[in-house]
Amino acid sequence: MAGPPADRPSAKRLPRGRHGLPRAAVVSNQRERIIDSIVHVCATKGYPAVTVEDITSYAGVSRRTFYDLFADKEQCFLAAYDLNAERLVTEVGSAYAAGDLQWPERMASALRSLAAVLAAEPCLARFMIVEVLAAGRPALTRRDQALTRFEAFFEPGRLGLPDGMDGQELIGQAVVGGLYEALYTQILDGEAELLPDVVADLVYCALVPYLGHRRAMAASKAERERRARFVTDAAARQQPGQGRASTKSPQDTAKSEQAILGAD
Amino acid sequence: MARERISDDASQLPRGRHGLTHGAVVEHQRQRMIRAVPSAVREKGFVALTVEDIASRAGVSRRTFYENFRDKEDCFVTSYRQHAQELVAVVGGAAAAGSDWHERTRFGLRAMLRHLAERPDLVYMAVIEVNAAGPAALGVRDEAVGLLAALIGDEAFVTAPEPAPRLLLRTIGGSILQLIYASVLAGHDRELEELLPTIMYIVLVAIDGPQDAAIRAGLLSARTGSETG
Repeated sequence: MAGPPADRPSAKRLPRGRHGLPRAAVVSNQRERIIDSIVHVCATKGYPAVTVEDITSYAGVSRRTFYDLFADKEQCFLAAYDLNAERLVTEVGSAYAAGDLQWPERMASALRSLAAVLAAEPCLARFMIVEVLAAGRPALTRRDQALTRFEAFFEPGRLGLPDGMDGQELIGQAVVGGLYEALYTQILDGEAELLPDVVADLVYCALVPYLGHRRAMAASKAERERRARFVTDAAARQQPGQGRASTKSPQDTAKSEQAILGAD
Repeated sequence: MARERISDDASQLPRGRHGLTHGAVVEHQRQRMIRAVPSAVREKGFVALTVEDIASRAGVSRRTFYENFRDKEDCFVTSYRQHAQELVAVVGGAAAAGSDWHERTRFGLRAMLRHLAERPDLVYMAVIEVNAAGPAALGVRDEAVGLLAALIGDEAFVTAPEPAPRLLLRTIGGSILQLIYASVLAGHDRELEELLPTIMYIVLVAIDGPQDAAIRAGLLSARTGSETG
C-alpha cells in the first residue's frame, strides 16, 4: 500500500535521481495517489498525450476508482493544480513572512523557498509551470489566479517607485510574468534541479523594477554569497572521498548559469 | 502589413483559368493554411484542433493539406515560425529607424505592439497554445523569444559597467509577454499600444533607475519627478 505498483509503465520515464517523492508524500488514500500520479505522468509525457489509463496505472488504482472521484482527465488536472498551487503559495508565503526582515530580504526568502520546492520536485515544477499551459482554458484561468496571488508579495515594493508614477499596478504583474518566464525556461530545459543556483539572479530581476540597479545588485550579491556558504557547508558535511552525493559542483553551477543565460 | 494578410475565403484564388503557374497556386494554398492556423487555434485550442479545421478555413482539401504538411503539429510549427519571423522583421525594421538606443527600443516595441494588436490570435498561439503543440514548437518559441529579447535589450546590457545578469533579458521578455497576454485575455486587443510606457519602464529601469526610467517611459512628468526626487 505504501506506493504505486512496481510495474507501472510510466515509471521508467521519470527523471533520473530525485524525483520528488519524499516518503511523507507517499500517500495512502486513492484520491491523493491519483493526484500525485497525474503530476508525474503529465511531467513525463505531456498533458495532451496523457490518458486516464496512464494515470490509473501509475497510481495503482482502477478506472472505476478514478471515475468515482473525477469526471475526467481535466477535472483531475485541475484538482491537482489547485492543491499544489495552494501548497506553493502557502510555502512561499511563510518564507516571505518569516523573521524580522526588510522587503528585499523577504523577497529573497520567498524566491529561495520557491526554487527549493521546485528543485526538490522536478515533476511538480514541470506540472505547475509548463503543463498547465497545455491543459486547456480552465487550467489557464487557474494559473492566472495563482499568478495574481504571487503579485501580492510585490505590493510593498511600490514604496520604492517614484511618487506619482502612473501604472504602478502593472509593475507587479510584469515582474511576476518575468520570473515565470525564467522558471519556465529553466524547467523546460530539464534543469529544475539547478534552480537554487539562479536564485541570486532571480532576486535581482524581481527587485530591479522597484529599487533600481544598485540596490537590486546588492541584494543579489548577498543572496549569491549566502548560496555559496550553503554549498560550502553542504560539501563540508560530506565525508571526504564521498563526493558522489554532494550538492552542486562548481561545474554544475556553471552549467546551470550557462543553461539559463546562454539561451540566445 | 494588414493588407497583405491572406486569410479566410475572401482571398481564395478565382476559380477556373486564371493564368497562374502551378507553383504559384501551390504556394498560395500553402500560405492560406499557414495563415489559417492562428485564428483556428485560438478558437479551438491546439488539442481539439483538427486538420479539417485548418483545411476548411484555408479553403483547401485535406489532400492538399497533407501534400504540404505531415500533420497539424507540422503545420503549427511552420506557421509559428513564419509569424515569428515576420514579427522579428517588423521589430527590427522599426528599431533601425531610431537614432539612439532608447529610441530604437521604443520604436521596436511600439511596432511589436501594433503588429500584435492587429493579430491578437498570434498572442494565444505564441504564449499559450504552443505549449500543447510538442517539442518542435517549443524550440521555435524559445528561439523567437531569444531573438526578440536580444533585439530589445542586447545593446544596453552588455555595455553596463556592472552588468545585470543576462537572465534579465529573459525576465523582461517574460514581463512583456505577460502584459500582452493579460491584455488580450481581458479583451483589450486593440489597446495593446497603451502598454508601451509600462514596457519601456521595465526595459529601462535597470539602466536608468526608477525615477529616470519612469520619466523617459512617460509614466511620470519630469516636473513631478524633480519635485519629489
